Amino acid sequence: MELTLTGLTKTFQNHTAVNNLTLTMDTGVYGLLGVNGAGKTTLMRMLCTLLTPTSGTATWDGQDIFALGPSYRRLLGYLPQEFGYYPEFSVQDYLLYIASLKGLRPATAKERTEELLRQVGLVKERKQKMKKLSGGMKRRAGIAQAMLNDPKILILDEPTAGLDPKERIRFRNLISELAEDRLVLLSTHIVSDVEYIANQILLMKDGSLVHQGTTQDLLSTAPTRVWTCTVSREQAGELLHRYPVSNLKSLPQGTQLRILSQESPGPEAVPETMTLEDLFLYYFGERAGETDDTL
Amino acid sequence: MTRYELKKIFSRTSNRIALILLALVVGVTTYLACHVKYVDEAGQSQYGLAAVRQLRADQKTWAGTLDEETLRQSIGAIQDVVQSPEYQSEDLVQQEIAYHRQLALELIRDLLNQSFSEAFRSYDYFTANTLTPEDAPRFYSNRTALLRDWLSDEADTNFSQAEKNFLLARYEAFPTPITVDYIKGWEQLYEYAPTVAMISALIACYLVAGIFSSEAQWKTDAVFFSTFHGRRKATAAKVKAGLLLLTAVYWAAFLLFAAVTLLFLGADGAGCPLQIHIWKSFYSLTLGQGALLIALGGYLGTLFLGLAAMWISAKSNSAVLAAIFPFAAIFLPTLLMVGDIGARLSNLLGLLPDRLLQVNRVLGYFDLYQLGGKVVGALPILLVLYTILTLLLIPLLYRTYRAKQLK
Repeated sequence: MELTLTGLTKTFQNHTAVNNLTLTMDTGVYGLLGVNGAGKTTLMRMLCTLLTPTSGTATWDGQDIFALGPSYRRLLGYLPQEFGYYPEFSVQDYLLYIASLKGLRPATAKERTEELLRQVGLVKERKQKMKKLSGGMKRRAGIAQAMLNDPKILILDEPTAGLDPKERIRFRNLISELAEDRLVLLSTHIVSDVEYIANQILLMKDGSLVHQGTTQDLLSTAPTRVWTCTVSREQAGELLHRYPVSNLKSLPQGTQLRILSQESPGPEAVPETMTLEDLFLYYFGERAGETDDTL
Repeated sequence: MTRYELKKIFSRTSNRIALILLALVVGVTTYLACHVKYVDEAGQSQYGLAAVRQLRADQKTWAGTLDEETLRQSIGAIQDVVQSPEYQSEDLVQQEIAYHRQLALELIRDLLNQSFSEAFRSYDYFTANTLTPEDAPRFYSNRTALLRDWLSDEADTNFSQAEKNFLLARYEAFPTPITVDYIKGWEQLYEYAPTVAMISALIACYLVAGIFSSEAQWKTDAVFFSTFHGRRKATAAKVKAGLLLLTAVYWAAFLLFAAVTLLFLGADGAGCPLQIHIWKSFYSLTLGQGALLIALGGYLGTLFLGLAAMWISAKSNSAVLAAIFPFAAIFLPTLLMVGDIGARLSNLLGLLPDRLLQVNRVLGYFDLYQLGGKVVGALPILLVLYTILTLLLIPLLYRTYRAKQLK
């Protein structure tokens, strides 16, 4: 049970969204981390056979996924970034329809729908129209549809985007629960999400994979260190120009900065333990924070 | 899966409103078709079932073979009316009384007006008033004579010699004497059928226009295409739902209109030649066969336009573009027909899909085409051409959508 990508590339006119990506994945949760525009969605769409690659191959147990076609899609569960739904369908009808698209027999579809409605906590809302659900509920319905066929490959594109903290934690736990014995590829730009649930982290930048490994692997091989220091406002301004800063906090005695630098940024700087968020900022620079206030 | 596709369509309020609109238009059209006037002996206008029954009873008195003797009697009867004091009177009621006396002869009078008209393309309601029983023997030969004159004069450059020969041969082969009957039901059906066919086609096309584009609009396409059946059975289910809807909407509307009209006005005269309603037609058909072709042509046109709209929807992800196409296909040719452009494009315009929705007019047009040295009328070409195109559109639509790439 192995999904192998070899030199996978997707070019749109003059823009290369995914660039010569080579990777092998088996069971476990893979967290695909990157800023918006890094190529995560394009990669996932290729893995869902929604887009054909410009070059390179994607194989499942040695067979090209596009050649496998429906038999590959039978193994697939997908929650897209922009999860669309049929507004006038009830939650139950929606799931039964997707179950029929996935080739489930009516009896099995009914059984799985019941099971998943319970699992995602939407039993009470089963008769409610999809358009009436809250954002979090819609996402839960989304994960339920992805799980209907008990997929071997579960692809979740930004599943927690736009959810409030409580719903996000709930959703994260749900994914962890569902992740057993399957390959889960989860894309996000929210670092804490992957930190909690991913076994392997894939850092993607400008269409390429810049790093891959467990959180510990990535942190231990980080090409930088983290320092904190409390300085005056004037000094803070100067340091902000010179170093990447992962956190800035105003205190009565001055400004506390969390600085990424191989060398100590000053005599008052104290070394700190690096986190994945620090590393994310190191790799993705200023763009890392542009869409995510949780960093 | 087809059930869910239909559910998606009818879950949209605009689609439900479109169906209500169709029901209203069909209702009004059927009412207008059945709203037939009868003028009684006292010169009073009557409407409704009793009026229709009376009109039918009156016109049935002249039903039968329109031979020379019947024509003499008809012309004589018209003369009697024309010379009556009621007809000569300035009083409107008196004139209506005279009109009542001619009602039974309405159809024959119309045929006389056409046969004895001054020129092939002219028509004067009072021509029949000027005839004498001695004119009766020329009734059938006049039809061909007028055509011959027209072809050698006014329409000389419009047709090739082969086409002229074809038309004359068809006219000469026209079996005479013809049979006449009370045909109000068929007359009204021919008159109003294009309205019903067009509105049914437009509404049906509007309903199916969103079948393919809605997935992109609702952003459900990603999940749809990533499923086991997404690019196979589910796409086929969309095509099937579209075909079902086009068929159901068209036939429900058309059959409702036709059934009510014919039940109310009567279906007498189905076996009479088409020419008793469309005098100049060169097609050898009965009124009933013509009506069947009107219905089938409308269905074929609806299917073709609907499938083309669905293909546009699948290709462009735009229900608006898809819904505009049938409107343009139906109304643009009508605009183009005006003036010189119409004359220059007449051959092309005669084969556009809008003609399928108005077969009653095609039956009266002289649109001719030469295929391998053989002259053929537009109607058989339209029926064969659009059957082939419709059958080709089905796999094309399926293939276009199943190969869709998401960006």
